[in-house]
Amino acid sequence: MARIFQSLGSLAGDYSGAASVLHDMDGMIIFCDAGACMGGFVFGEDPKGGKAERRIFTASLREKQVVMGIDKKLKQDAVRTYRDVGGAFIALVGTPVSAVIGSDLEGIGKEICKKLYDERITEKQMKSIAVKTNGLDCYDVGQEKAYQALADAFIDEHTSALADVNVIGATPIDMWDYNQITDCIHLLKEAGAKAPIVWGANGGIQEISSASKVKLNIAVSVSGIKTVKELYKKYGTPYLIGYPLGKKQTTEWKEKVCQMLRGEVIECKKASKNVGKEKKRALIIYEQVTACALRDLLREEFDYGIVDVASFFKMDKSLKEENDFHIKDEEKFQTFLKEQEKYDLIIADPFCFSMISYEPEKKIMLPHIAVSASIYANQSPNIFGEKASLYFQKILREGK
Amino acid sequence: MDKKEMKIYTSEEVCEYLNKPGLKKTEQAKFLREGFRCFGAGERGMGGLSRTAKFIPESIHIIVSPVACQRHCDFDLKINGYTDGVYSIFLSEQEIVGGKVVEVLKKEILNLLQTLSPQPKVITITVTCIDGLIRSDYAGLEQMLMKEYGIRFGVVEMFPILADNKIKHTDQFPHMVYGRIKADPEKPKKKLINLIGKIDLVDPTTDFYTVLGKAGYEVREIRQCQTLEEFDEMGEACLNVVLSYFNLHAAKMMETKYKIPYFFWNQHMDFETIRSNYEELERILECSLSIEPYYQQAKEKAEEARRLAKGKTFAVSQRLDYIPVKAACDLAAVGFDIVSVFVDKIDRKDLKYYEWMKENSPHTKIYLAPDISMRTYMQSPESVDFAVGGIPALKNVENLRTLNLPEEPYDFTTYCRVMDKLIEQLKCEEKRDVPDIISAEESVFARQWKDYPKGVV
Repeated sequence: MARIFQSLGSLAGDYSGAASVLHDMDGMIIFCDAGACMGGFVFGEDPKGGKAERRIFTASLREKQVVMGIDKKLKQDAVRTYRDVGGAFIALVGTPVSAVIGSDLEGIGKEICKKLYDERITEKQMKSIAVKTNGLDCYDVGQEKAYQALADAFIDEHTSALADVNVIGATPIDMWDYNQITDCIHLLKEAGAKAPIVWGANGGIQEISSASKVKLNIAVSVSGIKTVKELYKKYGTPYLIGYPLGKKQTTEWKEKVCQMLRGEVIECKKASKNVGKEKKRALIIYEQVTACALRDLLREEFDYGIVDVASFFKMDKSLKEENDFHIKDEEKFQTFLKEQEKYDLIIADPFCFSMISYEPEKKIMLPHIAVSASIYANQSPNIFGEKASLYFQKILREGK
Repeated sequence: MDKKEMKIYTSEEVCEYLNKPGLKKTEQAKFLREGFRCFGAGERGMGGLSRTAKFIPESIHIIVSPVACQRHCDFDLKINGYTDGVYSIFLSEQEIVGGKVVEVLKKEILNLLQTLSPQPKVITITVTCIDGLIRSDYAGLEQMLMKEYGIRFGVVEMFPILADNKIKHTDQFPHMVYGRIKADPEKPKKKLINLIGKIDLVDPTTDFYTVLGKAGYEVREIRQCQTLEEFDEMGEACLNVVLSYFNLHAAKMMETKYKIPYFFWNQHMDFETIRSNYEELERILECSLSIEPYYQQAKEKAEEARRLAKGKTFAVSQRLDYIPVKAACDLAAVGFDIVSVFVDKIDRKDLKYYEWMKENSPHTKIYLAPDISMRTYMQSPESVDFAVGGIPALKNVENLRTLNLPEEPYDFTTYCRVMDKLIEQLKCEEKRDVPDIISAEESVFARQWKDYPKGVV
């Protein structure tokens, strides 16, 4: 049964990932779908609500348009809608329908912008981006594509610097809420950053346009990694992967950021590794960047010897340890679990526990919108920085 | 934008539009949505399609789609407690492009069958838009499963892309579900009445069950069937009572396939209509049904609601499990002052309701809810006391209270329940004792799901 999932049936799709990156960017976002794809995102994966004000729309494609061509209706509706809602750019998000019929999203986007300009609705020709998602991948792939599209379209080397640090990968779907973003910005300022920008939060396309001038890029989720690496290749901007969980990591991360802002080249080494078979064992099933920070926290502050990470989503080689597991099918994951000595602690989204065939000594539910949608969004703790030590101390040592 | 440019009409204007043949395109355009759909889409969700397939007893269900589409069905199934016997296959691009969907499914089903004990008697699958475009042929798989395993097979098509077609996917899925019944159409019919198209959970204590029981008829809903034999017995019923338009297509199929006549129960939030439905049923069954005490109770409830609603104004949402203009008529008939109705589209099949509104509540305005102009309207909306169902365009109305309604009632008991709910909510408003939403506990770990201001560092 290699291809069949029995316990866990759904994960956020790539177009939801793309939308989670774009929908706070002040653009007009168009899902090239029949309605359900966009509905799934807005009502399932956007915990912020306020749906009425968002500039996020469905093209409401129907069979007739799919057969005859989607361009005409899409352009017509986009122009009519833009007149009422405005926006700094147009983004077209692909879905299974647009992928199967091979829609030229880039071309349509450009034509919409041209039409808006020709009809004097915009003063100058706006930019459009096309995120070629197809619903076949998970959210992380969609986010990666959206970040790439934003970087390709808007970074302008002639723009003067508006920020000194870029944080990429902090989206609601990965549990980055207002509080966690505020904590991150504060910590970066403590580390010496003067104008830290979190893409999609305090950073819109204006701030992104000056991204080539920043001193440091930080990827805080797996979907930001490709972009920070690309920006390094293109502009030589140093980058950091990860964010701190726990007191020790917070001190070290702050120091690292501080050094990098001073232009020092620092050696990136693994914070910890699996040691001591007699010590406790933990498994973390989560998005890789967060899971790795949690792993270090458990090893450094809670005496866990073996901590393995498993993820349904992309796993970057630089963060992956020998026994980490990419969950591509449930059967192999079950085999993996059987092969391991029983874990004492399992940390995962509440929906994931149905895949675990035994009851570990301790389990900690850490909701992830990409897995359980917004159902537990408010029950998920913000454990950014030093708070993680306090949170896990309460649970692991005091049993709260 | 000038309010004249907004898609807001009187019922008289709507009636004139719907009654006038051969309108020019420019005249028609005034009543059609422009721009992208406002305030989102897919609000109702489509996960219910898979859930309905899972109502078939002794069945398993497999969602065969891209990973992103699975979310709709999977969540609905989970939230409603259908976790056993539900499986997912995430399709890859190669499988779709290479036309291998059926091959993959067949392989997985055969593997799965080896692990299941007892074996399922029915396998249903949900496919999505992408399959609607590539049109996989499942006939061979269906034949193989029947021939080699005696397993029935059915496909639920979740194709929002066909939402404007004459026969929609929402018509097709009940057709598929009830089409799995195996029954001899020539066999004498039992004193069994199928109730089809009900969304709410089975409740055999309502008057529909009671009065028909007293008359010697058993009422059966699909969810009451514990075994496939009980499900097949639905094919021996003497009548199908159809509650929703969605299920009409299935009822017509059952009339042809199993020779079961159907009666479209004119479902209304109105006790007089419920009574006339029963009268029609008495005629069809040639028996007398004792409904009087239930009728009187419903009448009293309506009177109480009317008293509480006096002096208040109401707006009706397009997001209800009701046809909004129909719900507006029903509430207006009770005595509610309906000032606005938010509809999804101006539909000819609703003409009778607009005509009723024109005669009985001419001041009620009709709003084309998904039109982009509603975003502008939202900035300075007209005042109203209550929204029946959530209405995004009224988000900025001060002191607006939202009344929630359960599923549209079909008999007197369910009618009384809806009225009770309205009464309870109206009473809360009267006493002003509805507690505010309890704010989340102030905690160092708390979340705040709101936007971060741009450019602020």
